[in-house]
Amino acid sequence: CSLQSECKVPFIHVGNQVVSELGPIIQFTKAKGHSLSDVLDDVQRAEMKAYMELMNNMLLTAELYIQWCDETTAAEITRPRYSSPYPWPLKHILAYQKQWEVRRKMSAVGWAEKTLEQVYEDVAQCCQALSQRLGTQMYFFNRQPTELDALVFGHLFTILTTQLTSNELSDKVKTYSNLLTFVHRIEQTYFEDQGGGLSS
Amino acid sequence: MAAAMELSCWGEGWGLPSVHTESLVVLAYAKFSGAKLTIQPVDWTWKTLTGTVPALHCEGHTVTEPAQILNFLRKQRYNADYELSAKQGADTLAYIALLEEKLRPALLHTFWVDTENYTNLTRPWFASRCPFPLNFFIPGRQARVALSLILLTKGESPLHSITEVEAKVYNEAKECLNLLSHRLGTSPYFFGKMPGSLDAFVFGYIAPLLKASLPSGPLKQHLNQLTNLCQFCDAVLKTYFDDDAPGSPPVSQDASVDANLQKLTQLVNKESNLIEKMDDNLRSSPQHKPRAPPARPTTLSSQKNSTPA
Repeated sequence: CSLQSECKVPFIHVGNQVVSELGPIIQFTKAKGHSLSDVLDDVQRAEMKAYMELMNNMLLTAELYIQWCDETTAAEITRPRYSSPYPWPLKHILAYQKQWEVRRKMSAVGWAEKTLEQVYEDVAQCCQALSQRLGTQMYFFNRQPTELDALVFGHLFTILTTQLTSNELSDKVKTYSNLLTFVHRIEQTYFEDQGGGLSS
Repeated sequence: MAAAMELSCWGEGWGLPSVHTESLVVLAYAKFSGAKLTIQPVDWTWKTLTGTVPALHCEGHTVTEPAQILNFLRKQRYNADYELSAKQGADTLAYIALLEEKLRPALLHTFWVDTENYTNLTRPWFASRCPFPLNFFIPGRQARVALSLILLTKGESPLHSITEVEAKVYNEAKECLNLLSHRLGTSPYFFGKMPGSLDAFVFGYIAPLLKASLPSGPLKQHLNQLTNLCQFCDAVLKTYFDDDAPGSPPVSQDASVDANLQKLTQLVNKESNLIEKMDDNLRSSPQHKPRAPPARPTTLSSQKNSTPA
């Protein structure tokens, strides 16, 4: 698919324009007059950006590590899934190329020497920070959702619903009950007319 | 309880206890938490090649990476964060992630990739601190590592070359500095009146940028406009790193204020003495028209001066 090769997912298609990736999509909708973070003051906006970076730094990197650097997961799940749209032998070449790219990035940021246990610990630490920040509130800032809520929902929902070789990652997230409630609530409030969702 | 702890790090320069960001973070945290560290600079040793810096050695263990070292110090009961609430602890983690993602690439670029800065400042400094023949390739190796980190983390397609990534990297860094400035506001430290790990990290990242005399520094100019961050940096340096101040920080702050006041008084006295001498010379010189002397701050003679002959 030509779009797949040029743009990174997620992307939105508006008229003649295609905007990809979360940051630019947020800017685009803001320019169209829809913004969630206008109600925040400067200090809160700083906090929101900081927590979004924490998600990128820890959760996203951990997800990439588990998918591509853990050999069991990479062989059984990630490589087959990544290479499925392509014919042989392209599928193997692309899958190994992607794996090599991700591993290079991991060693540049210092994650290559980490063990799987350490990565799970980092995820737990990140979830603990998010759980403490959320507390008993409905959303992370005031009573309205912001970009941070969307990002947290996206990551946690993926972790909770994606089948991996072990359940340890989703179990770590499930120990934080307020995060679990948060994800359920958003799913029911905003996605209830679509089928599928969190089982158990 | 306190076992001897040794820290290997890059040595001092540019008015700072260390020019290396990660080493500065650890040094600052040690001062905040009261941990006594023996500093072992790796300058002029072969450890510049073989050692990971900074590294804390204690009773046979070696801990590297600032975050791990800070965790280790906390376990040894040197905790500068014990007054923080759970939410503030979470905020600390988030802001440190912000620093690493948004500010670090730009700092690496400023010092190691920008040609003017690298050739005129960074490379000569580091080369002069390495023994022969390491001075020929250690700075180069650091520069290559810095470049690959920037490209791998920021240079996603369609940005492939460093010039395209530069604009993105610097914009994000300026935004990060603005966010930090908003968060700090008018308080002396990020959480309350005592500094913690976030203050150590911010200090470690910002101080080299502030203090090094960079020939080309758009980011430094941006930082100079954020006066509260500059004052924060200077306050940390003065309070915790003023030459051998082993006592509690408030005491040393008073002492340094008194010392400054004394110096200021001496300067004023010297200046006024100079002015008097100049005035005497002028009046006694035959070429200049005699005129009524100006009013002096110090009392010399209470009599009104009559017009000279």
